[in-house]
Amino acid sequence: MPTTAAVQPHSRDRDPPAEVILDVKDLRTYLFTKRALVKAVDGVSFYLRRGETLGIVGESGSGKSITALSLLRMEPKPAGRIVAGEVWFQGEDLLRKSPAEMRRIRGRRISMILQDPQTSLNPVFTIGNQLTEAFTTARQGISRARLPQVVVEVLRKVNIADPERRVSTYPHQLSGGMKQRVVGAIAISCSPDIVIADEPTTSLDLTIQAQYLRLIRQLQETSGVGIIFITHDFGIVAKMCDRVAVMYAGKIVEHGPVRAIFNHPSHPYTQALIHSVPKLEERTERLYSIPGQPPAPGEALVGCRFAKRCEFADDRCRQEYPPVFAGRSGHQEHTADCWRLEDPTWRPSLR
Amino acid sequence: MATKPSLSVERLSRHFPVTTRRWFKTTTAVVKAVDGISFTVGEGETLALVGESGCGKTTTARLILALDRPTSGVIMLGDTNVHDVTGDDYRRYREQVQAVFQDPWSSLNPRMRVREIVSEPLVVNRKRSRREIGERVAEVLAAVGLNPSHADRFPHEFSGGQRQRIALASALSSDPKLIILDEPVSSLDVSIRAQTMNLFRDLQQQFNVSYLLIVHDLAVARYMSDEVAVMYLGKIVEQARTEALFHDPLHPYTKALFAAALPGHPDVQREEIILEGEVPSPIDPPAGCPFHPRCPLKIGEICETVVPQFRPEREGHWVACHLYPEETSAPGAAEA
Repeated sequence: MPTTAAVQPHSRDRDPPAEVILDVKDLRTYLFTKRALVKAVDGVSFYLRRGETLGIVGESGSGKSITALSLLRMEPKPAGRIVAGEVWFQGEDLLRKSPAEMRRIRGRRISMILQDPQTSLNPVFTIGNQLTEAFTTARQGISRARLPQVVVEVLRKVNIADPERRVSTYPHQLSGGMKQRVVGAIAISCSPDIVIADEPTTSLDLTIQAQYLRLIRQLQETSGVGIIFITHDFGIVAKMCDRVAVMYAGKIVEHGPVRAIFNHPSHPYTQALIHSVPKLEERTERLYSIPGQPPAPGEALVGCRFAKRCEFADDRCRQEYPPVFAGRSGHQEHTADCWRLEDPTWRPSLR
Repeated sequence: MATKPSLSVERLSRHFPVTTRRWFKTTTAVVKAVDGISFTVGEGETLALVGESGCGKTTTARLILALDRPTSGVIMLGDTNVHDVTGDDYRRYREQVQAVFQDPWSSLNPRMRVREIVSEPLVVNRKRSRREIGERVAEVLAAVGLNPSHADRFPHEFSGGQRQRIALASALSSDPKLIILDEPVSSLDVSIRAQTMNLFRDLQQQFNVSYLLIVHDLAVARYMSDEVAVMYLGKIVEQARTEALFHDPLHPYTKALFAAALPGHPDVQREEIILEGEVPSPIDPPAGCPFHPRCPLKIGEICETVVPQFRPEREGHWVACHLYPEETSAPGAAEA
């Protein structure tokens, strides 16, 4: 393995902590479907500091995407409804804002990059059109005459070669990697405080993913934007994030700085996930395999959500949801929801 | 190769003509989706074909499954030449080569019961009695960890991981020599992937079947395979035993893939090789080494003009790159 030359130091090594720009408290988004009440996001709290990257990791159905959408009040309608919680941003609770006020925040102060660039761009408008639209709807006070120039500049910022020519192309004329850069350009066009990226690289090839992740990091270094990275991949977390929140069945089961989580995973689910992913760096004799499956949406859930699949679960785990305990790394921001942590000497160790 | 080959592929090519129609059809260009690749899969072993989209992995799989005919080259399964067989021999061939695809939501017929899906490879051959088929279905379902009562259900009643088990049970039912696994875990959830990969490995031992694993995730390739071949633009650029390749990748493209792969821990520091640009179009592949426009280690004009030979740099470690010239040759002749 090439493990020689170091990459540039990442913002995760920086202290002291910056101010908190987004503070989410006990967010609950339920889906009211015909069949069942799905508690997609079931009391989730986290925060984001200026210029940092927070990873929200979870499997499909864990509620990570609905959490992201709820922050911008874009929960899937009509089934989805935010039933409780607070989302504090710049001294205001976003959940109390009017739709008109929210429109002024979306895209301008908080923007989003979605998984599939094919569906986030409009196929019948040129790249230039769509970027221009992003600037004009945001009413940034850029004069009409200057707009084309500004659009070209932002395309150059996301490393699109020959931007003067690219503005007049349509999305289908670009490759997946380039389209995702254009989406990125739209997301940063108004210099937002926060970008929410929902699995932005899953549709990209490995070498293109590496280019895109580097681009995100460069943009963050120059603009100081805070990023919430929604992903299912601990590799992305290891590479990109300062802090991470692990979601399972609508709850954040463990939260903490990235190194604390990787070195001292304290929730059995986190530990199991980290051990069930094959490593590129070393030969794995046998992967740990988590028995069973994640709970189905709408399944009535009592007690710890992971208890059914957990090696360490007992009756209390199955009946009562655990309170928040300090994580095993000893870092003050490291927490996990697991009854076993009541015993300060206990550590999850799988077979 | 450690064991005798179960499948051997020699100088396999598949070129697709690009046609335009004005007054009559003319071929204006050729897409060399697969361009002269050779490899073998050992008995009971796994060969991983690694590469990005468009490199020809799937075309290779289609050729081996006899879903498409090669432009040139030979595919041998044991003593049978795949594209020479007809009639009963062809049916027998289809029995011996099976596949598990990426997406178990689209690869299982929603209107068939699990029993029918699993027994389909047997029924096609019409040589077994109903009872034999029933027994075989129960046997393979048990092997993949499903219980016999599942046989009467439909695919929609199962989760992704279970569906992939059904697909594998179906592939195993005719006792094949080779199963092509095309991205078998990439559509599954993280917590399900490990159990599925472990199952694939266990059943390989139990049924002594070879796997041709098509995969983009290098860590999965390392975990699952005995040998790895790295493809770029229709060609194999490097091939070696898995541990040899992961310890010391030789080709600059392989090195770049490794550098681009996500780390297993935040403290893993890798050499930063980020390739610029994208994979060129296979309609108009670059002259010389197909990788030269993106290669960070290009040595000069030779890369732009001369196609590098695919040759063994070390015992069992083949590479196609001008960085490893003929002089340092290991035993074994160079091959086109």
